Amino acid sequence: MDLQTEARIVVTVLGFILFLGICFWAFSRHNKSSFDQEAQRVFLDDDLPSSDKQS
Amino acid sequence: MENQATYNYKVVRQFAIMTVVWGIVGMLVGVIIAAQMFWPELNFGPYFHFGRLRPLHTNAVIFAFGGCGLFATSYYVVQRTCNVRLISDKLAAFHFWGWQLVILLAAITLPLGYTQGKEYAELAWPIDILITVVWVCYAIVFFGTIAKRKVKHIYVANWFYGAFIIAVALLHIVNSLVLPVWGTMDSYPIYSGAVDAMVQWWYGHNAVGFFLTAGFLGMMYYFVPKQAGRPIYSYRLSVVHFWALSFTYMWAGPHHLHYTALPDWTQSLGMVFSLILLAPSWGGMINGIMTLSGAWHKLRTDPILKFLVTALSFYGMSTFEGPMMAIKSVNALSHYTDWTVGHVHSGALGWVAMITIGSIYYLIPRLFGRDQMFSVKLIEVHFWMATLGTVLYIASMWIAGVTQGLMWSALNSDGTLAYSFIEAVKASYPYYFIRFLGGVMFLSGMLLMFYNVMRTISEGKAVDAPIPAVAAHA
Repeated sequence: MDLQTEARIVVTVLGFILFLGICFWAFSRHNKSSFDQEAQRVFLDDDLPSSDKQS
Repeated sequence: MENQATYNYKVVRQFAIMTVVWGIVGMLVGVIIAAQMFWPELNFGPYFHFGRLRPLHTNAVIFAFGGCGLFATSYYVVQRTCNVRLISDKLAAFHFWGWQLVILLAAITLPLGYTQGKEYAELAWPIDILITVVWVCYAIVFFGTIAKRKVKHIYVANWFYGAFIIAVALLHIVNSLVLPVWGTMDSYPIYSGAVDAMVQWWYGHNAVGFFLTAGFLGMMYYFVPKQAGRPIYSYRLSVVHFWALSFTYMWAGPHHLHYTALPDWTQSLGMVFSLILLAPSWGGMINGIMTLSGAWHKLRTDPILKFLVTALSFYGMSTFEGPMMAIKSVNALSHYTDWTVGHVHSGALGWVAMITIGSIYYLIPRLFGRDQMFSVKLIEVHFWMATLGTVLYIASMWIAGVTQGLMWSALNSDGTLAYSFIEAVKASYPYYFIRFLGGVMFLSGMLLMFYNVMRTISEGKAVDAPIPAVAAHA
């Protein structure tokens, strides 16, 4: 095997491991509350013009 | 408070209005070329010929209509979710005017016959350079705004918009590498043969993946939760779905070159990755639709939500159809037929256009100091015209496409072709009229939208919203 082929294999395997890592990170119990909070934050940002006038 | 900091809504307003305008122009050209398929005598002279108008249609709807929609929404979303004004008003204005110039140049050069001959990358090299400059400015404004955000977390919609900006820059530069002939609009690509074809379809499919999918998913992840009044069904799924989509799309291009001079293993690789793509695509679709759980009743009264949810349904449909068509044996039937055209439009009209229309209906009142559009009833009418138009379009092209595929490959017992080419054209002919009708219906809906938008603007006032204080916990 030449170096180029080996480099391709390494990049592919590393990419796959990285993806698995992202999955574990996203679904770890530790991060659940911060993700939920983020989903709430955007949803709670009131962007209706009539609400601006009251504030 | 005096001099209170505001968001830059001006550039959002400009892009939002031009989305509607270019949508009408691009779809009108589409209706014209659909009419030319049914009434060939409508092909006048060289400038008004199908061959020159077709790239004008695709460029106008993808880059003018879709592009302006993405720019408008991305500038709105990045400001609202980062709690900060755009990093530079001047660069944003340059982005707007530069992009309009690109569109104008495309509308002039394509009918004149200046083309690189690469699908969705037809524009001549001087325009390609202008696109690169404008795109870099866009990236600076977008990522610069994210860099000075007031909150820690980068909201998921911005990840999708960011991937769209980076990937399109990469695709555009790599696929447009040419040796220009100085003093002319001509150029020679640096690639040749099968490599040239592979680079082109690596570009072509990722234009679908990152321009027409990732960017519009960014739209989906902001406007669906906002309009539904519910947070995203699963934020964690959105993170995984983002990376799965980014890792997979890059490899799917070879399915455009099944049974060509491309090496067989490359075709099979493209097919396998296209099949894998079903998982992240449906992950996103389910995440969007499930966001409505508990709010389904809103669909009955809210036509904007109808647009957004129907867009997701068409997204689910076309991302099921796509992997299926990438299977080599299915592709043997579908390739080069009108089935492909139907598939593209189920994505383009059903997904891209509907999610954009829904988002623009959400934006316009907010950009002009109103609480809702001039007429909600007209949005409802628009929704049904758009849906019916899309269904007519894709159903007629399915039938025409499968008919063509079967007739082209039908053999007599002695191995000769059972049908001549013109017989397949004759069999498709009535469906070209139905397609034309579907297109007219979709275009008429856009004209209704234009009227509704103009009335909303004339009743409202262009105001830049103040930036609210960041909540303490963020």
